[in-house]
Amino acid sequence: MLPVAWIVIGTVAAPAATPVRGLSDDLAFTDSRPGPRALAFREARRAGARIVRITLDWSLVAPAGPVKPPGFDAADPADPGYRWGYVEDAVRDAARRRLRIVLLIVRAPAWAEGPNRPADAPPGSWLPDPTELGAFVRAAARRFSGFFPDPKTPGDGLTEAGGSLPRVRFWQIWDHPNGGATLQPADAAIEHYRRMLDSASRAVKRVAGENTVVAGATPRAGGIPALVFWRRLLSAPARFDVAAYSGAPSTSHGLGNLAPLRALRGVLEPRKPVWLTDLGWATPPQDPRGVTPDRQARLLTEALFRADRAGAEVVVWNGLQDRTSHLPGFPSIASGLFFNSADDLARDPAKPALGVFRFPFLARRDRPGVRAWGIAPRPRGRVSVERRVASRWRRVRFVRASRSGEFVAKVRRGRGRIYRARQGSAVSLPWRSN
Amino acid sequence: MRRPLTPLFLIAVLLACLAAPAEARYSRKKAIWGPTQVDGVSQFPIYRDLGVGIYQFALGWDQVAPTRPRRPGDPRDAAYRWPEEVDFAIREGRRHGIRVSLMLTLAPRWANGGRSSEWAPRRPSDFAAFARAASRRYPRVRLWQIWGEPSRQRNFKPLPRFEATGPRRYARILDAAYSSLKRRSRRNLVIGGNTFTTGDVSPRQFIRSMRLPGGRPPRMDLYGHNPFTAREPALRKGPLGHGYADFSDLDTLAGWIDRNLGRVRGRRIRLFLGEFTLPTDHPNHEFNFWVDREVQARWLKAALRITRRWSRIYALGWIGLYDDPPREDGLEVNRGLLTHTGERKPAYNVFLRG
Repeated sequence: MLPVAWIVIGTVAAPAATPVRGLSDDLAFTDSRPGPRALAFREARRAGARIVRITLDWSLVAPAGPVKPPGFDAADPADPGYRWGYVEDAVRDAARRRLRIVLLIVRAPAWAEGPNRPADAPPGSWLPDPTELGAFVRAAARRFSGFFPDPKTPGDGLTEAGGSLPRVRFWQIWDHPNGGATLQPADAAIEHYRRMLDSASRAVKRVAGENTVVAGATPRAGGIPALVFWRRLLSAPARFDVAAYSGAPSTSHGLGNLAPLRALRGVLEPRKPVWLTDLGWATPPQDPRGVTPDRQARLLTEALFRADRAGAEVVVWNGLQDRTSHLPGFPSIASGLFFNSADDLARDPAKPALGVFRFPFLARRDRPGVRAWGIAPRPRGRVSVERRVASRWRRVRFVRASRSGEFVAKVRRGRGRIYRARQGSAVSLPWRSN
Repeated sequence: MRRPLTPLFLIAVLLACLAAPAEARYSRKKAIWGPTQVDGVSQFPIYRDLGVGIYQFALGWDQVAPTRPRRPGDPRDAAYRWPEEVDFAIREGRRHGIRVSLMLTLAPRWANGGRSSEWAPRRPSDFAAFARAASRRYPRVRLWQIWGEPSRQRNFKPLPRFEATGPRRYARILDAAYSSLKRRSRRNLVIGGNTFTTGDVSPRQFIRSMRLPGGRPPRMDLYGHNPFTAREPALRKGPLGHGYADFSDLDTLAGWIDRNLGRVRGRRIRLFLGEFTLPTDHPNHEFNFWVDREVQARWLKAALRITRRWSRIYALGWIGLYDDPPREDGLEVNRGLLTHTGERKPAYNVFLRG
């Protein structure tokens, strides 16, 4: 018979939207070596990610040079001037692991930038031509419509089965448009970004009505504070489906950057979904000044909880594995879920944050008891909440996870303040309640 | 409680089945394209001999209404030039127990901004008015195909490849025509889609993208598809990929329809296989494959068997009765059941027994 302390007080219904976890890691996901790239997507899936964000660098895919090449049809996905190779490889591998894909479009080629780019403005940032952006986005959306013949499959689709390139539904237009670096000049950024969104949205919707345009990925601070940016952007019609907020920490080692997330929901009228992107706290040894791996795990748990409470539909963590980058425009990663000692994802040790990403769980004081929250790996499965008492784990209640895996439960306080959740053989990291 | 069948009864059924293939089998599922007359001689006795249930004919809006009618819904408007051939076909069809299906297609210049006829009309209501006039002019016709192969740029524009632009435009035309034809008579059956195996927009993308401005799919009674194939028809075969659908992929196509277009009065939308043929003898200017006459007969037999057994298929339309006349370059399409001089090919008897 169960002791009285284990009696269930009651369940609290989980909110409807549970954030879907996503990962971005261009160094791993666009690795030119097929083996490590495929492994990266496999590990992303195993880590619990259901979405991956891949950068589609316009300046890398389109022809280079200061002048648009004559005869180049920017809206034609089959134009020989395009070099889609690295993106196709990544998209193909991601789809093979049943991961939904967000293509993040950044950096204009020189010929599509405005005139007289100052020397201190990063390449690709200076007044990208909205019309040319629309043509490029249209070509990309057609290429990844799910029907474009895959150049790497031999079948013609008539006498022999032919393969198509996977479908991409989510299109993020630019990154950190308020940050003052990727979109310049900063004083014209909002109006210019509105035109970019308008052109890009029309392009992706031409291909499929269900295609989703993600705007922003605005960091809290930068050239224009995030909330100011959104208020001004929304002061006139702006075409997009999802507002993304960048949770990238600046100098802060805490959760301060997430503060405007809830406020952003209030700004968005009519209501649009919110995504939290670029989440990630660097750790040593890649970043000697970063937080400890344990601290990183705790911050990730808190961030997921806050994102859930704020109604974020997707949370994208930046970094599968720590790695130093030598590619311009692709920064090094120190916030990975894996360390990098052997440069081999199969052998490198995981950070505690991997366990949190896979099975986030926390327990908070909620008078008179404790409220436990988490996202179980297996939706609709039974989860047991356990408490450590005298160095032994004791089950304090069972709860059934929702369709999205989320569970919330209230338990009576008792001896011990450390909790964890278990679902089959999957066990969350322990959490010390306040 | 069901009584067990006696051995005697089973033998009688078996004998009846063995005897049946020697005779022409009438089927309302068998449809055909072909001439109404050759040298002044009606071809409908041949169609009756073949056991055809539906005779198909294309009615070009651009030909019927080269100038804008003042009363577009009225078939007696002076601008309309209704072809006598359709009256003849309906009359002959009635005599021989064959229904007529009309395909309304191609826009006149006044309706599409002065462009060539494959360009869609600017206002779907203009097309709907023409459909209303046609249904009033031909009240005996119940089967109405809305455009032919609009997934091909040669037949329908605007139709950028890999985009929803064309299917959305088509959806508005189809829905407007549906409304118009149903208002005229609830017995009218509207056939939408009318895609073919491949296309500038594949059938799968076309089906998925057929959406009205509000987001719902257009209304239709039957989904039209022309499942040309370079493979022997068999539903167990794997899909072609790219969103294409030949005869062997009809089960896959039906799944796309179910997922994207919903149901009609609670029932799944049936398939109207408007055009099907297997060109024979040599390469031709229209298809990128050909088969010999025995293969044509065998594959047609397989296609007819599937059509007969699967209730989801409303009809299979063979195009056409005769081979094309010879061309100087030798690339004529030998698509017929008869040669262009009227000799029977092996497929004739197969169709007859189908």
